Amino acid sequence: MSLEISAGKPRPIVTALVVLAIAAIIFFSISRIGYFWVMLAPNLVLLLVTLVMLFAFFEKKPEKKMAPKDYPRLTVILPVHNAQETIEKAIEHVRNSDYPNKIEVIAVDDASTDSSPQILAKLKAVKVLTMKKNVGKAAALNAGAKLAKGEIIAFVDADSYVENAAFKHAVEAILEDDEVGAATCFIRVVDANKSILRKVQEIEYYTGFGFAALASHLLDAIFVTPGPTTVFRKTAFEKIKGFDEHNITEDLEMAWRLRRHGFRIAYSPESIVYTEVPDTIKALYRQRLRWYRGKLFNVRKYSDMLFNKKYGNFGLFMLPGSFSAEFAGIVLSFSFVYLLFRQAAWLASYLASSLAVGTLSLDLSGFALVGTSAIAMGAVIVIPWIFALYLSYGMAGRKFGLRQVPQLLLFLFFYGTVVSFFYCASFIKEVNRSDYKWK
Amino acid sequence: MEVKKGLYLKAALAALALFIISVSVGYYVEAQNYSALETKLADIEDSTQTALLVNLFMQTHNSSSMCGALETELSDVERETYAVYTQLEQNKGMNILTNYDSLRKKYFLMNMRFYLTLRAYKQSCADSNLQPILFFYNAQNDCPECVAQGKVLDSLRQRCSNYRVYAFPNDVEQISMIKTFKAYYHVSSAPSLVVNDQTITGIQSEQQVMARATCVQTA
Repeated sequence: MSLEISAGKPRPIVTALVVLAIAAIIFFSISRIGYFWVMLAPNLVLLLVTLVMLFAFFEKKPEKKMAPKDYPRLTVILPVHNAQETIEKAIEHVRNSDYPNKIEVIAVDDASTDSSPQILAKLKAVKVLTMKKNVGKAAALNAGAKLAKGEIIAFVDADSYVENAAFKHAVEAILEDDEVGAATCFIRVVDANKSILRKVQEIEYYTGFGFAALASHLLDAIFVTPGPTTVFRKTAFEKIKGFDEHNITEDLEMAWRLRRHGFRIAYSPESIVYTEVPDTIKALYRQRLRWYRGKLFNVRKYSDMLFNKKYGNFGLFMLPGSFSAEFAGIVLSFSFVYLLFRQAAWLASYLASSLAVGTLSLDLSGFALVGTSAIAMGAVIVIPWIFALYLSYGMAGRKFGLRQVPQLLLFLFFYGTVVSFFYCASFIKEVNRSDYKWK
Repeated sequence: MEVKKGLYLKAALAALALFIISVSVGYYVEAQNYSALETKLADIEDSTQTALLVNLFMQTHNSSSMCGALETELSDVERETYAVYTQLEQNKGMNILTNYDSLRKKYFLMNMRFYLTLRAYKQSCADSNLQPILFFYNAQNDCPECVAQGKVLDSLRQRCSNYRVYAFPNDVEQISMIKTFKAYYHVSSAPSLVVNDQTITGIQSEQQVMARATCVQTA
């Protein structure tokens, strides 16, 4: 199924003009005020966002209510599309949950072409709903939800593995307040040592689904109901008519729509879920293209919530903060990519000249972009972020020490660069209204 | 839904404080570098004055008795000035908070004086084999060829003990003496070299430079 996130024909001329305009502004800014200040401005925006979250993190946390006497019935829905490698394990983890009431498991086979249907057929106590044609994840989830008998519905990706107590804690978080429509979990990377790419994504998941999620929860401004696992109150899910089937980041859109309908979203840090993440740059590119384009699209779609007091910290901070972070991200990534190309061109020209005259020096002092003062200034600016990272590791029960330094450096320089390219690509594709297919 | 205004205020103040601290740290680092360069320039200034006076003495007394001592002095000063040039030019654009223009202007003027002193010395001490080389490069516009030419000259300075290199920016209009130099030697683009009063435009290899100026191989 093709999920178009922007209607209309591609517009290459508009896209070319937009890209040229951005490149010209960045070139002009860098040549007039210097790359350092151009890069610093968006970093200050990100610093402010990080500091707000840090202060929120240390706000007095509300006391937890007593665990409920009776836990409502739970329905777990797993969308399955060519998930032969992971589906059995995902369902096994659901079954091993120590949830104090019955769990109904529904697997929605979204026209898989691998051996997923056969695997599902031999699993006991799993209701299998088979879609005749590939309808996409959101539609599959909605179809599964229609069959759900539980008062609580949990959506679990076919490549995500819930820890035993995950559902119990998430349901407790939902039951704490009648206004809570959903509870999110602490999503972590499974088998982080399997590849370098997983190792660096582990940092991202710790900060995003650990520290940032808890801080957002304390601000009552949770931003996304993550796809790997989110637990919903069925009445809330039905009231907002389920997932938007035409949105490529249905989990992000769902969170914003819940807010619009007056529901709160809770976060349960004790609800731990491990998920598979991309192992190759190509797979990461596909995933991030979807995430970033979806975010850009939804920021536009929900722009009326921006600076809207009615939505509290979500409208006044989280959405503008996210919007600013998007903008900062675009400026940073374009500037970074521009500088990379400029330096690459410089290096190529230098090497060509050096080889032509037969004297090649590997002392590339002239190639350096930053001096000691810029490094010193940057080091001060990143202190809050490093602290947030330290807190994230703490939340995950991990120690943050010197052993994490190589991983951190890879995350900052390699991963940051790669993601910058993805961000630029997403922005360009979004402006161009390029079709997007989510296989 | 409670809006946490106090929290935002605290975060904004903390961001401002961190920004001020970071600028202060950056400024401190640059001030240290600036001060170190300024001290080096002051030392070179003293040596240049000494060389000038010795040269003047020899010209006034029509004597070549101090040629050896002057050559040593000139060689020492050239090493120091070249090191300062490298620091000034390699760090160009990396100094964010401090303006190095006045320091650079001071350096270039002193370097010119020093170059002219060497030329005068060669007249006073006829058997000197010192080879002054003028190097014009782009300081403000990207010029990878200039950097490559600089590396060639670095290598030549190591290889030929009698080569003395004086580098000047081709694209800095504020220093009138540089304009005079450029006009005199017909320099219009970078990189350009002036070897034995002949101007060569475009990047030159070590062999090409050595073909124009006798090289006394370093022992």
